[in-house]
Amino acid sequence: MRLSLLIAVLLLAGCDAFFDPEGSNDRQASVERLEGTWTLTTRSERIAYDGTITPAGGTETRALEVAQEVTCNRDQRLRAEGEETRAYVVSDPAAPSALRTCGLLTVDQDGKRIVFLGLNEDAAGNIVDDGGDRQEWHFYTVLTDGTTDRTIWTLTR
Amino acid sequence: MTRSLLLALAVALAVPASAQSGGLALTGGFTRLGYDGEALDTFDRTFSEYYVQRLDGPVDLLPDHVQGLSGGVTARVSDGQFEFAAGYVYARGASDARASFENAEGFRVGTEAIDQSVFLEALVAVLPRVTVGPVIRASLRQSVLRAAWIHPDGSESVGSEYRINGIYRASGGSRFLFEAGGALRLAITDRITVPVRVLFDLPEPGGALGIPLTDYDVQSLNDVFPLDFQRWAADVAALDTEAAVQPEHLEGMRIEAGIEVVVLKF
Repeated sequence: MRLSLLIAVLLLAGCDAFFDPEGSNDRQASVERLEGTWTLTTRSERIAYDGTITPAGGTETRALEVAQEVTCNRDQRLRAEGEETRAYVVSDPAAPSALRTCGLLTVDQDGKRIVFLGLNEDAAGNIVDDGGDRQEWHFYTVLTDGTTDRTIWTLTR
Repeated sequence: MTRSLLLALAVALAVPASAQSGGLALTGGFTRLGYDGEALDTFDRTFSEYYVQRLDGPVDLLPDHVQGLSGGVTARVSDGQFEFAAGYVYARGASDARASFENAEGFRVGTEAIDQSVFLEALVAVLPRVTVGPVIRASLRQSVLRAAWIHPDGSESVGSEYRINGIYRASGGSRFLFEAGGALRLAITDRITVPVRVLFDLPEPGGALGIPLTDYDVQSLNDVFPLDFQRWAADVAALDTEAAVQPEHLEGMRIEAGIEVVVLKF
């Protein structure tokens, strides 16, 4: 009887470990965490064929806004209706509303990628830090000589 | 899961009072989920041929099976000779393989299969403590294929620098599987038994949908994962669904074995 109880407890503990803690609302929560205005710092690194990393170019800082509803492009009001997992990203929020540059982004359902949705091609980067006050995204570009450029976006507020 | 439990209890309680014994048991064990190894080998072979100059040898990125742990609950009634059981099982299997190039760059492919199943089995005693019989099973299978590039500094990316990178899933997230096979149950004590099951995937009613695994988190990139890498590399935009990995390729024979502990007798 004691052996049965012990095994039963172990089985119950094991079952709990099988279930994926990620829920369906996590993706929506990740996008909501991005909403608001951020200070974006971008810098690049070059990864050589042997793995050596060297800085490439300088560091740039600017503002970035993420919102479910934005005004841009000839005063057109844009809202990601029914798309809780998508949001608009405004790359120049200080500009007059009609002149802003807006795009769509989403976070994948695994919370691993930030995806800028494009008409012909998406740009997907890796989410390295997924905090409410700090985010870090890595975008890779492979060059023809075998080296790789890593562009690091650091968002703080 | 609640529905499965209620079903199992209803089945058990519906048995006339003359039935000698029954119980509710927790189960846990090992599961081997088969894949269509022949079809998936097409990717391994064509990938290895395409990168033959940069690889040390052929790679096995898409295996013919995955394995992992399973757990669940079973309701069982028996009159000593015949035994009837219904239950719920949660099983997860995963693979993780990597192709390494000479400069430490690499391509990592992982698959994951998660099953939530209900089963019915009817067993007959053939030896003291041993019962055997047929089992049928319906499962909700979630299949995921993850493809990532490893850069020379060791960093791993599922981003868009290579079009094949991505996280691919079945249409709708999950698919129904219907399986049939056999079960053998060895009683260790009156409360502890060892069940072993072998099940085969049955053809789907109406035939397979033919919708390949797709990267649904993007809208214009990384749409499907190729089965023939060389054909895909020749023209990535021309890939059709027949030349892509489909959910059916991640289904096959299931073998499971474990331990079953009766926690409630009735």
